[in-house]
Amino acid sequence: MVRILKVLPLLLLLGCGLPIKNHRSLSGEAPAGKVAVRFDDSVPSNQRALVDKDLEILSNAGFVDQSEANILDIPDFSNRSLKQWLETRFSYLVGENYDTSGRVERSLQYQPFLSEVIGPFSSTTIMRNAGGAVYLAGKEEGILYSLLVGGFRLFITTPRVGIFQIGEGLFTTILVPGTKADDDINSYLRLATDFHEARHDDGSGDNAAFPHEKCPSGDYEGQYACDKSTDGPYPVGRVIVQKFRNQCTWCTSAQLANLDLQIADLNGRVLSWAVYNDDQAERINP
Amino acid sequence: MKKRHVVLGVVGIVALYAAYLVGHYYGEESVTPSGSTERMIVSPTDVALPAPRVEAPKSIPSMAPPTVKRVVEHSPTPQPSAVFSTPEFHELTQRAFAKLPRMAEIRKKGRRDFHFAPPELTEVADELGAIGDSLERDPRLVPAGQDFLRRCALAEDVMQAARAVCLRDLKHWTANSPLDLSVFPDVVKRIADSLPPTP
Repeated sequence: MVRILKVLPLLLLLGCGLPIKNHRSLSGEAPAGKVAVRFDDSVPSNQRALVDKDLEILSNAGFVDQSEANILDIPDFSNRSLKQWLETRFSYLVGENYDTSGRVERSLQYQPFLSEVIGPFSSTTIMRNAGGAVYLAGKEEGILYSLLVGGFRLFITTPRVGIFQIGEGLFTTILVPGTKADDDINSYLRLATDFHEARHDDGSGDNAAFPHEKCPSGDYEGQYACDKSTDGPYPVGRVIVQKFRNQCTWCTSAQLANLDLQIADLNGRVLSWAVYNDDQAERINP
Repeated sequence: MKKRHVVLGVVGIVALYAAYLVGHYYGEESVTPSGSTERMIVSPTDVALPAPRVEAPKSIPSMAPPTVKRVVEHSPTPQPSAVFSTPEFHELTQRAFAKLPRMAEIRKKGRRDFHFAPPELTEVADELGAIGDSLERDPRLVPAGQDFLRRCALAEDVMQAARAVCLRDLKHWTANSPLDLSVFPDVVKRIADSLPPTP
């Protein structure tokens, strides 16, 4: 008995020394498990590690405030709902050197549609929904494309195919001053970016892939950097930043100011006449 | 087995567990959430730290652990914990005004892709945080703070997001006095109203 009593404090000490999870959930809700995402070989290992860390944080986000769940069309902001939402859309990640031109499979009759042009991918580019962009290009050209990702030949029959291209900018441009890429606050911003891009998996008809709208005025006048949907990519990203921000009891004032500036920027991109749009993703049956 | 051993053992366990709990909860403000390698500096002079982010009436003084200061490596100007004299605060607001994001300057740098916010948007965050902390701690600085926030919210060349954050904070710090909102553009007011409350 005396021995046990001597050993117990040691066991307690060892227990205290176990790695404590960094992000602190406030809800006490159980973690939901990580979103399963497949990495193409083109994604560098350091970027994989950071994305993994972000998804780990999401699995235990523990949001208390359940408002605005309609923006994501989910019942609540539980860990489980968030995981399901992202897992449905965020399936494959490819690196910045990945060739997204796609293989032509065959001609197809799509409905005429004016799509966004796929621009060149530079190292400062943060992230883009490659699957959605290729789908829109195929729809415009009347061609069914496929992409080889992580050993899988994926036919791009829907924007919901869930292929995302990430660049160094995701880890360097999205960086709160005075912090490191693996600091939690940067994970919050990257997760908001993931959710933003994941929204481009959705929509149908003219709203396929929830394309951005040209801003009629303001800082981004003339740029395709606004949303005509109140549940579009910018509102989706904004609500994720705001959830993390609202329960970041460990954020400094400067970090909160940083997040507030991001939230303000995202709010400013929603056009005054924006409406709620159906997020069901279209797909074709080739 | 002697009774003394049992008592000592139980006391030891309780003490260690209490120490763990104290370390766990108080450590939250000082340990990097990500577990990254921040250096901890303990200094007896760092007595005026910002309070931890908890909802508390403004009349209650800071309850932050008084002797631990976070120093983040690579941190450019994180001095939110400093106490400013009036001239120093004036200097801080001047620096903040100069650092406010201006689209014309951002475009001059060749930045063309605005799918996501340009990083210049948040370069002023340290100063905005320090200004908020200062006003919280020293009410004598509030008039100068109001002046800065008003100039920021009215500055036509500054990005709307930053103007909106300034307007939100201006409304917070003029809560007990009249504020003519008609001089601010509707879009800035709309964004300001959609923001979380001033920290």
